[in-house]
Amino acid sequence: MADLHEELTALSVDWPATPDLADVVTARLAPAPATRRRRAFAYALATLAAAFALTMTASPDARSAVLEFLGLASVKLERREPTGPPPRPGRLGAGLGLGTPVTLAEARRRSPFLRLPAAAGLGDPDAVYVGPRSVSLVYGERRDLGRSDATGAALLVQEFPGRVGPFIEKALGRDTRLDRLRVGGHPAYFIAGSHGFAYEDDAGVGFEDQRIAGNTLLVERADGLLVRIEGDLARDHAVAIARSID
Amino acid sequence: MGRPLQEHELVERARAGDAAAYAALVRGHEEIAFRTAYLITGNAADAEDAAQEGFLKAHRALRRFRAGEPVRPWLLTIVANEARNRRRSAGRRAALVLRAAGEERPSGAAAPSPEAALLAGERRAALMAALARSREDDRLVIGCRYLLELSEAETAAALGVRPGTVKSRLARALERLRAELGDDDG
Repeated sequence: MADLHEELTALSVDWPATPDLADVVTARLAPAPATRRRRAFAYALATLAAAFALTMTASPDARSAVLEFLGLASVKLERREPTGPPPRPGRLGAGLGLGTPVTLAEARRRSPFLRLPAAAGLGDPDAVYVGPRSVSLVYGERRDLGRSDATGAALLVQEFPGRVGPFIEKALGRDTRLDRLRVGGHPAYFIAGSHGFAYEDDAGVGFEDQRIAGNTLLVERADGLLVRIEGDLARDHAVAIARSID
Repeated sequence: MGRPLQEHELVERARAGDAAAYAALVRGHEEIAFRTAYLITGNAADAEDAAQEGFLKAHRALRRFRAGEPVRPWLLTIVANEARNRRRSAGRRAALVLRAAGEERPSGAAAPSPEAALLAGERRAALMAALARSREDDRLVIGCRYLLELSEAETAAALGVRPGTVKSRLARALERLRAELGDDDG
């Protein structure tokens, strides 16, 4: 009997042609890696504190105090001018780094934490994506909701199961307003105006490319679910949608 | 122009923001990265997507890359991780296809007799079919080691396991493959 090792080594697979990745990747590169590094936490918190008119030094002790004050442990906010590429054309939600497109049924199977908003007029999402640690519902135009330039969709609802520590980073420019509120008793923020938005990626190697986000409501629920609602919509509208998630 | 740049020099330049240097790094590894992703996803479109995203993530993670370490296993870790994220959702997968007999080996060796060639062809097809029927872990470890000809360390990187695990997993996979082929006359 011939040696299996040799036989396997001698096999020659008809691999599909390798695409030209170098050009595509280079075209999509962020400006310079050095500018993308995780910003100093102390700086972030110092500017954050300023945003809340707090007089607090950015010592390590102050860090936990500020996070506690914010009430959203999974979101890191910074005051700086945001940058980012516009959404790519294609399928609704494509190019937003939401993960893999799936059917709603598949999303339910893979992400048991998924809750659908029941707000009137929304209906089922037009596209659903599952990421390593999130599920994203993308809605095309609705009667009372126009398309947002930031996402190319009318509404983007994202749900993240509970995680300790910040995994979303937001850069708030000078013209961005930040309102602290409560939705269904849970701490929440509404960010009005475009702002930078980035996730920590699944390999834990830092944050994804930042993109410009539109008006966003963040609700950190007591059950650990972080709900993020983004669209060209007013605060009350976003709050109503958040409340319709059971 | 001077001599071609060494890989560690390309890494240094890419880290400093030189896009051309990173393009050269990608070009040097895109084939193995794409094929590894294809082995995992079983689908060329997903493999391309995984390799592309993997190279973008690697670029962002460049500054964490330890100087002096080999680049290939590091890249394979990131690309294979992307590929695994994609394959969980994909249902259908294409089976690996053998290159037609005759293209099998570079010319130079004496041409086998028609019967011998036929037998060898059948045996190869049987081997490939047995591999396609084998369980996922077996198919991946054999695919990495023999079809992609990755080293043990690179296979470990691609599969996200320890090198020791590769050794034991491969031994078990080969054992099962032998049994499947009816080779074990034990």
